[in-house]
Amino acid sequence: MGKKYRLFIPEHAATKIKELEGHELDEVVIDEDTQEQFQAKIIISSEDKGGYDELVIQERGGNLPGNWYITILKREEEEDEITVFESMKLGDRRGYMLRSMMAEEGEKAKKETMTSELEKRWKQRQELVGKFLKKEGEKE
Amino acid sequence: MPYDVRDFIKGLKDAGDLVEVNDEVDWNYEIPAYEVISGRFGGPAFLFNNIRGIPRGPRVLAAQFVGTFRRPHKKAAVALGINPSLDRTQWTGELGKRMATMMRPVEVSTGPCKEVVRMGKEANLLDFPWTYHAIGDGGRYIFCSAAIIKDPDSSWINTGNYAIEVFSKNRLVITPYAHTNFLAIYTQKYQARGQSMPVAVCIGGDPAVTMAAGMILPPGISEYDIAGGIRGTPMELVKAETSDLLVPANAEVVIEGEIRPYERLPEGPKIEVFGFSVGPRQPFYPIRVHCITHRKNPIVWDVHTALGSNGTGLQLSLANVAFLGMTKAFGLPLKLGDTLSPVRNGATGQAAIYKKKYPEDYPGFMQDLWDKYVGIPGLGGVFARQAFVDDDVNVLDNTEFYDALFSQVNPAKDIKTTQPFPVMTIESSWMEEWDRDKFVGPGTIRGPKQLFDATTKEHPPLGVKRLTYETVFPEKLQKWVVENWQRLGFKEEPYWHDTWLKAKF
Repeated sequence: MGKKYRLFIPEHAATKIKELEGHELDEVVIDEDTQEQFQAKIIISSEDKGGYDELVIQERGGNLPGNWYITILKREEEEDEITVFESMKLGDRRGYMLRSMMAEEGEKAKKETMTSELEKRWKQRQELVGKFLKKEGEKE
Repeated sequence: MPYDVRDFIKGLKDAGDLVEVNDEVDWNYEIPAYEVISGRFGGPAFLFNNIRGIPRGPRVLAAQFVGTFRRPHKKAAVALGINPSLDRTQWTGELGKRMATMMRPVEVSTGPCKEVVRMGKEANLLDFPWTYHAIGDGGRYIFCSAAIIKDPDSSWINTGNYAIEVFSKNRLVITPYAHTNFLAIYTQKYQARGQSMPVAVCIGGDPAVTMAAGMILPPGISEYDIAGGIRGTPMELVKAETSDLLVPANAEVVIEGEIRPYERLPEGPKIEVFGFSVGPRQPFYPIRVHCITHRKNPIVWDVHTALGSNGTGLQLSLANVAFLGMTKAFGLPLKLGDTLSPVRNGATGQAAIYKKKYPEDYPGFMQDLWDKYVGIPGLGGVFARQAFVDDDVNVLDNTEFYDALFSQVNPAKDIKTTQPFPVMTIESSWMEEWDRDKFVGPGTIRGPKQLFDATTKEHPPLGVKRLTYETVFPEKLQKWVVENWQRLGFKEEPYWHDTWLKAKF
């Protein structure tokens, strides 16, 4: 028997632990040598069977009494897929977010007003010019 | 020249507050055990140069910002180049002043933290001597770091110091409390939009960043700016390898990764600054690690946060100042804001109320203050118990605080138990199981709070007169005795609250 592992169980599972013996379980197991944790398919036992490693079962408040053993059927490898983060532009906004956002909204509204007002004036001018040209044409 | 953790080590050495250990030590229990013993008497910090099973040269600095009984801020003062002989009030005032002067960081092209870059499968967390702290802990923990994230809608960079479980070769599990900006940004922005959040966990660099990372600040304020203020010079930042996050250029180790939406891994139990192991094992936020950059022979900064290692001192040295910023930001009528009771540290909060005179400002003032204080996430919201005292009670002196608590509280009227609020994870260890089952996970656990009104209730001069050195003797005599104390042959430093009474924060 070489390695030693640790397994956490929730409260009140201690009373049912005997029922889980011999069944395949999917649990996070801790390697006591490195404290590395990993997901694995395991079988636990209170009897020292061949090929089993030592196991400490910890619940809230302490370890379960007696000797426990574990065999790891399959260790799940962790995904190493990476999210590629797109470059984000650092804006000028810093702190006082709401205030600066409201100010920006105000600026935008002002711009819109100015734009629509100028358009309106330009159209009025076009109409006036049109009318003027029409009158001039009529005179001729 | 930017200041970094190596300068801090030199400063500690010069102050005679560092022991360098070249013998082989183990990350498994042994390093934290030295820390606890040293913490019990306000002892030195350690630099461990030879760690069992870690051949490539990473070292461990075991140093809390904890000094002596009288000067809990001693090491923190060394780290900031402030005179460590200042008393607690002067120290708090000085740091508060520096905090109020924020300085934006500057971006530089590269820095020492890029000396070694390990990407993808080359990045292995188990190559570093993260310590295993106590019997029953769920894993190895990083307790002294700055976790850096960015608000996706602005340029606000948030930095926080949280307990981080080293889960495996390329997974960390981070445990921000429910009140933190970290969690607000993650849950309300990235997760709500179904996006991954880039994270960088930085160990080392300027201790000012580590200190600022431990502060609770209002949304929109970057801890980098505060760090620049308390250092008196802007922090130098460099772009991370796998995201646009800006990390301290002179950090010892930078762990880059991402937190995916709705992904969780089991975390804990662990020792905590509250003085006991926090359980049960709960689902928290895993960081998928994609890259580790570090200096050559990096120094991993370890802090054993449990009570036995003078977690109290850590709180006494920095916590009240951290809360000062928050109190000022919200304009609450408090003199200092919040300091923490040493009995179980964070489990009990205490505050000094700034009241100019009696009667109270308006009927229902106390109730109003309680509601505001408790309602602000990260301020009153985080503590299970809080006590308010008059502004002449020096909350930096626990004796005075407890004197007020036990003499001014009428059990019939001045203790109030509130309805349950969302609470930090600490309360989960004493909540009933049905409640835990119902509210699983950080931010969903609720717990009631207890409030103590330890202020004087009667109007002076009929009210109780506090009997202290400062109130029973004429000021002139007080001054004479203090000034002549050592001349008369006493070696012990006189303990006079003159600085507190005159302090303006």
